[in-house]
Amino acid sequence: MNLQKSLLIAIVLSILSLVAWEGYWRSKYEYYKASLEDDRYLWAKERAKVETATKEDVIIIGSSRTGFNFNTHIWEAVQGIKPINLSTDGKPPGPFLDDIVYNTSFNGTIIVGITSLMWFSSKDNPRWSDAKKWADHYHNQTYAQKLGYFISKPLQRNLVMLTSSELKFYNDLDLKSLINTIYFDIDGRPDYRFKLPNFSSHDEDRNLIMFPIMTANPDFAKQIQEVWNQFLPYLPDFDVVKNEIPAIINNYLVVINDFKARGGNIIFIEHYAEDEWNKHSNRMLPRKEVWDRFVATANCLAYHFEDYEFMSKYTLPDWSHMNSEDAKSYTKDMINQLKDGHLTKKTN
Amino acid sequence: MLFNSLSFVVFLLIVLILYYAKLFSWTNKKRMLLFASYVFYGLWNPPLVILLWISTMVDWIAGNKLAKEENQKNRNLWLLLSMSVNLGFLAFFKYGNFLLENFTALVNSIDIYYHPQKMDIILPMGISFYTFQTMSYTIDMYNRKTQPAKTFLDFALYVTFFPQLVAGPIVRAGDLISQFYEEKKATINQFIWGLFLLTIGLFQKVVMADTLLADTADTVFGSDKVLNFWDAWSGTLAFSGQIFFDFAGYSTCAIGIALMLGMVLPDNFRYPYAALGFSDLWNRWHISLSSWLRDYLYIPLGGNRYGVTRMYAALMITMLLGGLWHGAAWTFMVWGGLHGVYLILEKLQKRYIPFKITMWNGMFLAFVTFTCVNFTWVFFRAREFKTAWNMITSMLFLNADGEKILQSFNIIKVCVLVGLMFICHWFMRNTSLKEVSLKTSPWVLGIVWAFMFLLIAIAQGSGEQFIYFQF
Repeated sequence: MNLQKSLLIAIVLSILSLVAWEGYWRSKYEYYKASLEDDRYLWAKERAKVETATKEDVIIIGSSRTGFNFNTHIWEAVQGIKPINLSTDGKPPGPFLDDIVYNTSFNGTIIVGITSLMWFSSKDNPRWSDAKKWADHYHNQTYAQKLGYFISKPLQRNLVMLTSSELKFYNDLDLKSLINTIYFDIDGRPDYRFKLPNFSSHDEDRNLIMFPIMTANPDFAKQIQEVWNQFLPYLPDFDVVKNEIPAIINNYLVVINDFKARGGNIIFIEHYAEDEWNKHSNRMLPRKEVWDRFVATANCLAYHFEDYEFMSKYTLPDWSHMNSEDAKSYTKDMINQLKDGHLTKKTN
Repeated sequence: MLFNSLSFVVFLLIVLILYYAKLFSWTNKKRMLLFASYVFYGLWNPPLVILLWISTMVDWIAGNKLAKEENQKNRNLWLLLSMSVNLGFLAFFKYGNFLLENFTALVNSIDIYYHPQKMDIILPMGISFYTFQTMSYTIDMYNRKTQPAKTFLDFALYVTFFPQLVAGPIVRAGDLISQFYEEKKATINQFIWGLFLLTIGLFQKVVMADTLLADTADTVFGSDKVLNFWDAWSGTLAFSGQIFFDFAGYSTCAIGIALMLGMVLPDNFRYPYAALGFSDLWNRWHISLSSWLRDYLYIPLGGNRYGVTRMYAALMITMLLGGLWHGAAWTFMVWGGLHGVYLILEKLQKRYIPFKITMWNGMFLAFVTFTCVNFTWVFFRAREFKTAWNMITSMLFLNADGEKILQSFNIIKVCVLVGLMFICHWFMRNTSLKEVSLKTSPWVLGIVWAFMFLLIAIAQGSGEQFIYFQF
């Protein structure tokens, strides 16, 4: 046994194969871009800012539409204060609202971006428990985890091969995601290969930035639409879910009232959705039966895209999210709409 | 801190640089290792290092007293103190809620209204390992089977040595403390072999356990449905592979890291799924725990010295408590109980229907042993008896209309991987990795090493905890 020779061979082959692997995925630049992963660690870093937030601060929560549609740099430029961005891709904001209300003394403004399918989901929804895990992670993360995250950041920023999301439905590059694309149709067994091509990157303030190719190449955007069409037509009708809605709304009312009672301000914004997304969301959760009822009982400032031209003037490449340029003007318009006494700090 | 984390890579690099730099004397190197071990543990939850200190102090004092004390009554008291502190930690931190729940159920069953709140207790990582390790020192001192540690530093390092602190191997004082007495430095070959073992351990954990097998086990055992035969078996086999790769992976990492520092830790796994029967299994699976239970529980309970009935009772008590060591739940007791039954049945078979083991019936016997072990894993992994029962009935073809929840590929993947693991264990059962590597060309070894490293890098690993950390 010549261990030194084996080690040398292993080092050379490892370097060559990793370089080749990285090079291969870099060549797929339309799908992959090296960036800091928007995972529970980055979220926790942002969440930590809530501990020192004042009455004048703004926290944004919501799902992917909120992440794509708001740009916190523009927000800061317009309002003079950078909001704390706790929106999360693929997760309902309910657990985060609970976390802010019951685990902090924050009494500033919370902007809740609403995607009906996410907001009006029950606590039994697995996505709810996924979101709760992030909130729990903030409270339970160890020093070792913080250190590991600190070390991993430069690697994530520079290596495309590290593209990997906690959300299992992206076409990620970790071994598990790659293996899970294999499917044999035997014995009528289920097919869980719901793979959404990556179509965004994140900046370090957790803004979701849509790949330019989504607007430049309609065929690329169509791939995303096709994925949406894999499940949107199968959403249940309102009749199936209507009995769950009152309890969901009542749960929120308790949290909202507790937050308002300590002087907090909460604003709801239902973002724009087009075509199939809008059609099937409305079929499952019709505005009149759900949103209007919720807003009337919550007694908070609320904006629905159907009521404001500035909210629905955009073309959404995938029917659901804004491209990065539209997000900038949408953010500006929204703050201008909110500024008259609804945001606690005056705009510039 | 987890071996499968970037922070550990940096930590290990710093430790190795400080260890091999000519900055410190041997005593200072040991101090550095001790400090590093506390950092390793404290980065998870700093206040819980205090438990380590208490355990260290108590057993150091008790050990020294036991070395000098001649009065048997006093000796008993010193041993009792050590047992009380270590078992007290376990009782409170690990079994507190379990004891409370069962006490509540008991008093409620006799119509006494008592509903206490569940206690919010953190389970200190690896508490079962380091308490058992320190207790072995005091018990050995009591039985005059080992020498007292020469210095407090040597003893503290024995209790806290970071490679094996949180998930073993549970090392006896005689095997480790004496290694601290003289300066240790790995030879180049030892260092590289340690690095190779670390790579294998990480490959087992990150690639095999977490990436390839964990999801199937989690899906099956997390389902509240009654499952199809194939799904139930796939989930069980996946867990069988997962727990082996997870735990053996940790031990291999620990042995490798220690070797890089010039220390030798004992083997903890010897291809257990090729065991020919259950006595053989426990000589191959978590060897440091099974030998601990044998020496400090089974033999003191009488072992085979007082007749067959007493031996069977001792065996069963040992396995039941061994089950409970793994977790505060009745399902773990059933797991231990099943192993106790298997061991008793095997002893009866050897007594009344002995047969000679050949190559062919040996392989069949290994397969039967592995199959029986899989049934026990169901109780180990299931959080509730209902889940375990549904799984067992499905595995026995009793749920013909059970649900299909796994993709075909997952079933094939698990069967192929676990099948290969079984064959690998069979061919390796009478040899060792070291022996095989001696016969392997450096090129082949280098290519295999690079392949494992590449897969670890691609798997990325989300820093999943090792399963045995919770025990």
